[in-house]
Amino acid sequence: MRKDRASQIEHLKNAVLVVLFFTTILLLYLLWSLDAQGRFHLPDIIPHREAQVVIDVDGAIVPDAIVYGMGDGSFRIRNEKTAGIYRRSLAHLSSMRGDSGVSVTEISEEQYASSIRMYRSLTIDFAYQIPFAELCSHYDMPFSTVMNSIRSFDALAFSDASPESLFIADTQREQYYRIQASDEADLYAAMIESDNFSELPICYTIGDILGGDNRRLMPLMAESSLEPVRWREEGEDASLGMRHALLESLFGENLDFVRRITDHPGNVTYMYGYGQKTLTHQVDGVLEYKNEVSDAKGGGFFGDLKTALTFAAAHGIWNGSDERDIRFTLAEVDAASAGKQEGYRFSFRAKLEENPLYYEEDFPLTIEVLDGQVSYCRSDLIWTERTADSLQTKQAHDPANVIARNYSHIYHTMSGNPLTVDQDVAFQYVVSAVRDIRTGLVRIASDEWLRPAWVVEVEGGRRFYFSLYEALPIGASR
Amino acid sequence: MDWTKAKNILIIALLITNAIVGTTYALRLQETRQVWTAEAAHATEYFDAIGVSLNTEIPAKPVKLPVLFVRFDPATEDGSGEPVYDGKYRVETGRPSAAIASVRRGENKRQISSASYALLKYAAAMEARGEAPQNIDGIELLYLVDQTEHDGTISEDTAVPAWKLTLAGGETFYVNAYGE
Repeated sequence: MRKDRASQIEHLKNAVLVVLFFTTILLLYLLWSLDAQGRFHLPDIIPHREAQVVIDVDGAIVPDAIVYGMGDGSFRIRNEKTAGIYRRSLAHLSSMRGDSGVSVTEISEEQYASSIRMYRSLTIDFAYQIPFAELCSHYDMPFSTVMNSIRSFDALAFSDASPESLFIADTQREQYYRIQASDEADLYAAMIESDNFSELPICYTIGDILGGDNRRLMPLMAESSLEPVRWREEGEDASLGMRHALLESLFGENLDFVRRITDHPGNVTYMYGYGQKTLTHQVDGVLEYKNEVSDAKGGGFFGDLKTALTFAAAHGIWNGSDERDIRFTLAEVDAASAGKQEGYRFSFRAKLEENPLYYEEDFPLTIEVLDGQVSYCRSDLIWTERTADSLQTKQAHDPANVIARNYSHIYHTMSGNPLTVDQDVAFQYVVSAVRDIRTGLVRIASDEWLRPAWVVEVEGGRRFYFSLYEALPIGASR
Repeated sequence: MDWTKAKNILIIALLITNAIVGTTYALRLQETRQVWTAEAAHATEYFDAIGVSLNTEIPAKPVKLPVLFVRFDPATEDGSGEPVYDGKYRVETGRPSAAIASVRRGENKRQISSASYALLKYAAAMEARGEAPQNIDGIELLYLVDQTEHDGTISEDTAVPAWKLTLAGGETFYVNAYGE
């Protein structure tokens, strides 16, 4: 009897224990939910995710071209594998800054141009200006007061005209300098040493080939192994992961309360507050992020570039790897400002292996940094279905013929004048307006293939695309 | 091991824990209610002082609400859509011509700001405009889809809790209840 009673009490205790245990859990949940807004968010737990990303800023800064002057009016151009030569030039610059007897002379454009054209030379061209003092500081170069007058540059050059000198040019500001070392070191010879450029295409100035006084360079002929490459937009599934990573990290604990707007084509906009932060995912895979930044101290060219690349890596846009067969290099840099806030807008161009990939419009990745914070980001990434490279090179259409066959099309598009004009006037107009002509792959929105093309850039930055082997117009930027 | 003793100790420990957690929870709830009630009293005093009469009771019960995902029916553009409710809360849109096809609640809830906060926001907005606040005839908590800056191509949007103040002249004034 007593045993039965004891057993009943034990059963009762078990039941009370279970009830108390669940009551404890319920009460703790209620207490926690008074303050908490919901589930845990990784960004809250790892608040400094961006700080953990290691970014190679230097890897994004790649020269647009290396131009070898032959001294006889001909040139050779290298558009790929240009980074190593640039690094070598930085080593020379660094040693010159440590040279107490170094002298800096401002020279005229003509003096600079003749050193490059009339003598054997090597010019490292960039598509954007790089602040000189920031570059020296970034690479921990010795301090040098004599170089204080150099503000920025977009070309570094070495010439047989003065082998012990390094020429620095800011062609946009039309400022040219010659830095002369105190010793007799032959910098030009050191730069071209073990650099085999004899197989590069021969170029002349456009004026030499087509007439006029355009000093931009154009290859006489070109061979290429470029073939069409199938591409597709960032798929819904693929972009979903990136979108979620972006949303989690951009909106953090507020993500559950972020406004989501879908329009009829299917573009989705995520908006926080009254538009302080918005992220738009367009149906064509484009992601656009806008952020009202607060006033703070800017990071300068290299600091802002690092901020931009860190942002791209931390939010799953591009982490510096070649997982897409695509890598990005800096293609354009513009000064940006909004009120008192200042910074840079960085546009990145994609490269498939070493072949530049042009979008008919815009760039695959653009990031704006104001006061050291990312204020705008637009990514338009694609996947390519690359087949084995063709080893067989084919003769591309002669670039001079590309202009000659299409000058009328270029003229009418540029001028917006559909009326017939004197053919010679139109030809001279186009020849003098051409700024660059080179080969690459081009993405035309309505075409599922990336097409091998001649890319002709004219004054104002507008680009015209012509099929590489037939010289037929296939597109143009606005 | 003496399981009987162990169970006794566990029961006592859990009872003490529950008592502490339960009391803390009840105090926190009461505290929030007291804050809302105190705010309501202060708001009433303030509006009395500036000569604005509140012809309605200020809600003083704290609420936690999620956002509401709203889908519009593009086929109904004639304004014939029936009023839509989520529980007891009405869903209003700035685009009366578009009927709401369905609503879906967000995953998590957030404490909304008090009705007194909404009243003070209204008074501050009037002061900023250089206008005198009007008498308040009604205060209602509802869901609002703010489409003032968007065109008619929107098929889905997010409704947030909002305090709707009905003014003496029949006009309305909305305040985001998340305090944004």
